[in-house]
Amino acid sequence: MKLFILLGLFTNLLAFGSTLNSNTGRGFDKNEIDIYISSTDCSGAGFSTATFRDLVEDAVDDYWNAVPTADLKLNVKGVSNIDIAGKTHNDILNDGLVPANAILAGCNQSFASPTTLGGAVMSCTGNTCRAVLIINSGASSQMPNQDRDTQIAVIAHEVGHAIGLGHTEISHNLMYFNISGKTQNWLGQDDIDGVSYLYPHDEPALGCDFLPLLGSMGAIKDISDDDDDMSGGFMISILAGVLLSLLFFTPTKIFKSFI
Amino acid sequence: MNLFKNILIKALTLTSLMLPAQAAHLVSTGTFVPFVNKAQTSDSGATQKFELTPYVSYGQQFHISGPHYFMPELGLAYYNESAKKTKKRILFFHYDFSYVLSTSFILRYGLTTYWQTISGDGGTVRLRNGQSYTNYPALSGSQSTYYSTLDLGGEFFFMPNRSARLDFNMMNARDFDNRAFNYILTYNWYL
Repeated sequence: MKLFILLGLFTNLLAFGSTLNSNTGRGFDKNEIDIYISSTDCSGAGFSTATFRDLVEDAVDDYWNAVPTADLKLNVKGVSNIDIAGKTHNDILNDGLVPANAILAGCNQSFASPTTLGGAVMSCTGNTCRAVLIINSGASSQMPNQDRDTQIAVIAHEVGHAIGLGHTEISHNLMYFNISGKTQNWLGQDDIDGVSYLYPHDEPALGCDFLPLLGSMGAIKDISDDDDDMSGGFMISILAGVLLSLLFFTPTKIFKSFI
Repeated sequence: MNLFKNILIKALTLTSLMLPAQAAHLVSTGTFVPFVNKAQTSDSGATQKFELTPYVSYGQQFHISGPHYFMPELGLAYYNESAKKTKKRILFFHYDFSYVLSTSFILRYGLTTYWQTISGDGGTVRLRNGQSYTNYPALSGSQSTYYSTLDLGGEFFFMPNRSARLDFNMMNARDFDNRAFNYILTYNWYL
């Protein structure tokens, strides 16, 4: 009993700072999102445009595509012929340069603060969302001074905004506002919770064909206004356990060999 | 909270009503540790090794044959509310089997389905954004996600009806690159 009480007192204070994108307050409607790479020169950021594409790919593979509790798949496309030189985030969105339900990533020098590493803006109209991610390639950009892992983390942070996340208040999370002075190699729990909230898993970790009876096919739904509803998948999960117990196994006392 | 109580009561009632009364019962309490070595926990880049997230469970035990048992179990891990009123609850549906290796140790293996709900009360959170501050929308409403794991663990009996258990749950079992582990460490009472 003392142990129960003791455990009840513990709180997990390391998580729960997830917020949403300040422009949209939501993510994309679809879970598979293409990222197009702008052709604009990235050399001011310390790498070629082709290398920038590789960094974006590493950023999504190392961070956002690697969350088992989320069903998000970001596909990095090849370098396109979309030029964003001299354009702000809003210019790019307003000029229709971003395909529907996709993200455009590129470099340019449109930042008001020359030391800003990058930025991302997301915009949604109805069921259609678009996002643009820009890395600062201006003369005063600090990107060339970062090591490769930090460059990847910076891009991954901006991808986080582009898929609908806001900042977190706990510094070890990727979505914290500042990366200086820390080593970022993984997502924090807030990042994981945020992306799981926006893109919940609609497929079991082991595959639907593997676990048809275990509730793994449970549909994802908003249950905020639906207190009495249980998903069919989980009803199946419970019933499957009960049926297995009733039909195939013999009730017993504690392991006979121990008594 | 009402939603969660409602669901938990339904699940427990349904299970307990339909299962034979003479089955051995198991109550456990301990901690659930998610994303071992996969979630960052400090600015220096350290990753998750241990945390205290309260975990409680109720299970039953059924003899199959010889040293083999089937041990379905319903578990709950809960995270207390933060200042931002975001909550996370995880219901675990364990379908584990056990193999009695010795008089004091059993091997456990099987599958678990997780039902994870993240919810928030909405509103905004004012956070740093570069040199200024921005109001970010907090999570609003509830969102559920389901996923399954492969389980492997062991249970050590230091008394005939008291034990300590360590279970590893593997997520993304078929995806080597993105495979991740949770573990559950519990103290168990057999009733």
